Amino acid sequence: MAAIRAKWHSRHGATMMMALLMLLVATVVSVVVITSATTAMRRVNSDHAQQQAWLTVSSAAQMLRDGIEGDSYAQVVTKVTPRLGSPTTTESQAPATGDFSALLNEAMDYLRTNIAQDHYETTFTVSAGELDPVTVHFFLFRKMVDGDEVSEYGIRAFLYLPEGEQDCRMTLKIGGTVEPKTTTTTTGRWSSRQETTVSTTTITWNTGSITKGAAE
Amino acid sequence: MKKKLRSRGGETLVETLCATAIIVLSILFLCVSAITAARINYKVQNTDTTFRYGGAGTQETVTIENVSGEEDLSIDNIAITLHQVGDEKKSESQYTYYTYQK
Repeated sequence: MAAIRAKWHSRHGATMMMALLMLLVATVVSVVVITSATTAMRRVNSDHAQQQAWLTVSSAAQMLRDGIEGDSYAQVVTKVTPRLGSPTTTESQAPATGDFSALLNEAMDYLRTNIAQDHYETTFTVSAGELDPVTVHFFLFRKMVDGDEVSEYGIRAFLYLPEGEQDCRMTLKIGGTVEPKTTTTTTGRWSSRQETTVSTTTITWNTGSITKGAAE
Repeated sequence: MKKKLRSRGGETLVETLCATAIIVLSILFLCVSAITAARINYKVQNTDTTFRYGGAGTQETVTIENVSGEEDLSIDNIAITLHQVGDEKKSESQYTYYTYQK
């Protein structure tokens, strides 16, 4: 115990201890200074990456919205009823013609041929230049009235960067206006008289809205 | 006072040299870290991360490819205008976006 007390009160080697203490303080201060500087740098880089990811996804969303807006698809049903004989019904379509007509026509043809289905869905990627490809989960749905007549069409597209660190989800909503039109004409006389009824249902895509996040 | 002056007690030369070396090393550490931090801060201050729409664009095309694989959807002729904005000398601070016109 006495040896420890003597060692404790000894003043030999105090300079070395002071120097080592100073080294410790200097090391801690250096680490703090460099860490704070690199944190600021990292934050700036992260902000840039976040902004770029947002621009990539919003560019794709705006392109889809503007490309689909104003395009239309029409379903034409022609029924010819002769005075004598049985009536005949023919169906035809006036497909969409815009840049995204391939997508819209495929969706509408799918819904036309699959009566029981209330929606069409597909997933595709949008790639432009050196930008990261944007994944789009595309839905085209319809709402039925009394299980037969379609009252409403709509599009929902969920856009995101699958491989990016940034969470930049966006939702595109586009509504479709359904416009039914029926015209009836009568031609011929007496036995050759026939009535032609043309029923046209036109779906026109309205201006869409883009919201941040994966909204329903 | 006389006793203090005549005393033979004190640090050896090796101890003094070692202590001086450690102090010099500590000061060096501080200086290097301060200079490095100042350089990083200067770079951060000069990095313009603000985004402004604009800039001349180049004509490009967008490719759309199906992921699910069930249907064959491929659209590759959609014309867009690709814009690059920001400091041209610093590619890391540039932003890229595109616009579409019917």
